[in-house]
Amino acid sequence: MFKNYFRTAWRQLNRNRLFALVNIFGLALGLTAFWLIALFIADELSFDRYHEKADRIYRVVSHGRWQGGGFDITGTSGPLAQAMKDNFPEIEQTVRINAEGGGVIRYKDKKLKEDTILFTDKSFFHIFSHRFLAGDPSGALARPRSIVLTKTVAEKLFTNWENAVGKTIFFENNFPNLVTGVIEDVPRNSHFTFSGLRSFDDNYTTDPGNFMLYTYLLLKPGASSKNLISKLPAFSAKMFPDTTGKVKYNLELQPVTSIHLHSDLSYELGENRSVKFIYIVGAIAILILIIALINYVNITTARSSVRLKEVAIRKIVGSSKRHLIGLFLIESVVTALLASCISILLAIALMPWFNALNGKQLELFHFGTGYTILALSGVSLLLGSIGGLYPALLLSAFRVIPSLRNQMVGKNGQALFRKGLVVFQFAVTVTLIAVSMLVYKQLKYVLHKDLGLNKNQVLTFHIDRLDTRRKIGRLEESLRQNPDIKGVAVAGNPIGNNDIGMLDYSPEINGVVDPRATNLGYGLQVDASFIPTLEIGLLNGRNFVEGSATDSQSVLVNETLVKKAGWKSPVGMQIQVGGPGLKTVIGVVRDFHIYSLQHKIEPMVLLLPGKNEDKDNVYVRIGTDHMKATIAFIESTFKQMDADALFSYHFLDDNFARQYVKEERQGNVLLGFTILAIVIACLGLFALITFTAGQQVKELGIRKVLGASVASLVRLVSFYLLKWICLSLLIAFPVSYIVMNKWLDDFAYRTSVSWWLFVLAGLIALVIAFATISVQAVRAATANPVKALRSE
Amino acid sequence: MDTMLLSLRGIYKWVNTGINRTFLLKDINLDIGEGEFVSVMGPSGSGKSTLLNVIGMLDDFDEGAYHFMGDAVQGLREKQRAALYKQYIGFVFQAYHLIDELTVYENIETPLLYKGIKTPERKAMVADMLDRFNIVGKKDLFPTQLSGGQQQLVGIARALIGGPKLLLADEPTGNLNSKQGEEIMELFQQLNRDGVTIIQVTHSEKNAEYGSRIIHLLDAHVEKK
Ligand SMILES: Nc1ncnc2c1ncn2[C@@H]1O[C@H](COP(=O)(O)OP(=O)(O)O)[C@@H](O)[C@H]1O
Ligand SMILES: [Mg+2]
Repeated sequence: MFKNYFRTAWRQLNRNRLFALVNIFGLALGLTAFWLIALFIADELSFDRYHEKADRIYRVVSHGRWQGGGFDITGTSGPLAQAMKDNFPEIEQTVRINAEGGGVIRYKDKKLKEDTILFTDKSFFHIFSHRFLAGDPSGALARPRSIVLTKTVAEKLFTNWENAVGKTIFFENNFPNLVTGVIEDVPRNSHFTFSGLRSFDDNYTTDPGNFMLYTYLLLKPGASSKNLISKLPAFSAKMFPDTTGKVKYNLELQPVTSIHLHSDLSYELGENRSVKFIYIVGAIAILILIIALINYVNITTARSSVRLKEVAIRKIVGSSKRHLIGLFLIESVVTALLASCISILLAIALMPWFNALNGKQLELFHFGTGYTILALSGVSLLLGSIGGLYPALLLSAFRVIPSLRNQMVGKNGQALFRKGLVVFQFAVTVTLIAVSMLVYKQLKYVLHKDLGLNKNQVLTFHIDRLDTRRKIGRLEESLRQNPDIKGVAVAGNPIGNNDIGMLDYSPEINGVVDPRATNLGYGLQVDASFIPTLEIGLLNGRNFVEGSATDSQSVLVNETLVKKAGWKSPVGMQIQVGGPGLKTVIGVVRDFHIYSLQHKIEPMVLLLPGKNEDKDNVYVRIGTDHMKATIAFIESTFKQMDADALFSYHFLDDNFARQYVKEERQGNVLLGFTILAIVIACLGLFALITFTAGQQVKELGIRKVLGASVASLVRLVSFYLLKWICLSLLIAFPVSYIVMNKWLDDFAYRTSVSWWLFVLAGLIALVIAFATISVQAVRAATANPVKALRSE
Repeated sequence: MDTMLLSLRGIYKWVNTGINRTFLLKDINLDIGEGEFVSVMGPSGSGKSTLLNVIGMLDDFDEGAYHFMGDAVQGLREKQRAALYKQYIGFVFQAYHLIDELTVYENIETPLLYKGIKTPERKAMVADMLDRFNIVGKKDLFPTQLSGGQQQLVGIARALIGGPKLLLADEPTGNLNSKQGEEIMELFQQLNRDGVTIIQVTHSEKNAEYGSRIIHLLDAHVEKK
């Protein structure tokens, strides 16, 4: 029986190649999209799960709240780890991380700039699972000045990683570190990565009020995290007694496996993703599958009129309903299985492109070839069953005698159902188009928004060595000699690519500065050239004067701070910044962004660097001519100061742009799958139109004989479907509006959801649909009417 | 007369069109004994096909009693009725109604598949039938590759393969030339002699003569002679 079914199914497909191809190819595309997205999501969900004790590892993060403000940071205070361990029996082990272990590594004559080196406790490898190629996990970081390298770095330094252990390498020329181990590179699915781990000095800790260490906990097996969490408020109240009576501190435990998708705090160790995007792409995967499935159901039911007679005959010769359903199911299952074969080829072809879009290195058969193919067949069998069931039930339910006469009973309801599906397909497609356009619009907006400073043509680099910083005045002077260099400035922080530290400030209110009335704002140390070089607007008062004796007690503030303090005439106001001592406001600058537009502009205080050692970030504005020569000049000038230094520079606009890589990738992924969805939907539309046009050949033939023009015939055929597509637009617009706003939530500064996005998305869909329709409509309308009439 | 195969008593079938009721069958009373060969004649639209479909249980009727081999058809459920005609009735159509996607062999084989007959037995039965109708050479062709007469032979072979007691033929020769028609009629006669009860609809007096009894339909009822 099965053999017979399969044979019939195969012949059916073979006899109706166009429809079979559309069905198979559409399903294959849908399956491929589903597959790729499934890999993507699986990868996102796999973050940090490779640690053997992953289910027991938690990160402690800090929250602070006060009237009108607060902070939510990943950093914790130095003594916290020990205090928690002492207080809570649930905790088996703790580990602290300080992210600032990077710099230039020297080994013999080799020099290497490695920024992602962390300081940590020896318990690191007890908590986190990393594979040691050489050395011993428990002892590797037991002594100060030890370092464990990843394989890649070890190979860069020692050519062969086997030579690494036992060698001494130097940081900044003078800090020796003994290599005590080599581990495999950190897996890409980790919420933080590093190229090396250095041990802390003995008894290393930080000031309790300084929240700069990352703290991770390992709970004892079976210990309840809920229990621990319930004790945290009391604990943090004891640990951080609230001296001002205004700030409330609290600690939060984050399961390590949820950090990548759910944590979005300040000073994250790595680039996290938003779970929202996972939901979006997950929904897209399912929608694309549904679109493909709709094609299948649509084409099959549309063609069911052609198969009515066959079904009737089968019934007459004794087929039961069950047999008929089996017949149609097998047919769709065969289609689905063929589709899954093709999807393997498609996926192999599309994988490199998909990886380029999303910036990952996903492997097609990540879960093993056998399992993957099994899952693929499973999904396609499921699709086949769903897709085949409706037509099967529909056809097997028809009564025999009308069917033999080729009369379809209840044809209207069925046509309505089919149109409903087309409407749904187009609604999804239009929504995808509109949302992808918005993502790109937002990207364009953030890349071109006026930041309050001119980020173009500014080259920036960091001075690692304290020695060189002390001589920075000479460096600046030498650089200014070059006519292609328009300005040189230094600051205590890099801008554009990370969060700079926040500090407390108390503004003068009604003539008094209340040091307990703390606010949190950014403090940026800049020299007098910073404002002119970066072309930041000065709204009020004056800039710093270089070398002025009094300006060390002067500050500039930004508009936001002025607004927050409620100052009418800010110049001359007193303010306490950071530690004790009052400073005088000498000027107000226009608000400018120091970080990506996900972040709001906060109050900011500009101060002169206290000492030369704080001047570590150099900003050089260069002309557009002879850029190559200018950059070479900057490098050689810098090398004259420090022959050993590595000159690694960035352009400021790139620094800002790099903050949107994640969004750009999201945009690319969305666009890629939008195109796929469009292709699949159009395939379906094409087949449906081909079929209707085929059905209408006779009617069109008669009209043509009666004198209708080709144009009017095309209109007739097209108008009919366009009406339904317009309906789908009405559904798509509100849905995309909601999705757009949800996505934009992540940005503090966002582009507008303009009306033309919807119009354009609708137009694109209409044009594509119309093109698809008219190809077929013209063909049907220009066909020889006599031939068409004879074809009966 | 030998044993009764089926009997119709006061069968009515109608369709409602607005306020009017159109009768497709009107007070049909008919007994058919086993081994009979009955021809049904009448003008186009008089209800011949409808009658045949009702007898073949492919179509419902609205009033009356229909007994088939002792069972009251009107009291059976759809499934039971299907089981009944699957076992005892074979159909032959004017338009052959073969399945275009299947070969001659497969078309003939299909009823056996639905009866759940095992492969070796099925093969033997189909081979037998092909042999009997002299179409062994055509077994791998598709219906569209055959002439009308050949297609009808396949149709009859398919109707007979399940070993029906009753063969219902709705204008089996309507699409054939007279020579082909004659062959079919001789085949029917032979079948009838072998014990198959036959009811055929025909327009040709000559073909009707092959039967032992002729029923005339007019305007949905049996014309009294
Ligand atoms: N389901 C139906 N609904 C309405 N009219 C029908 C239906 N079936 C048959 N008829 C009509 O009933 C009449 C008898 O049909 P039929 O039995 O096919 O006649 P014959 O086979 O004698 O030519 C015809 O006029 C036909 O159009
Ligand atoms: Mg008829």
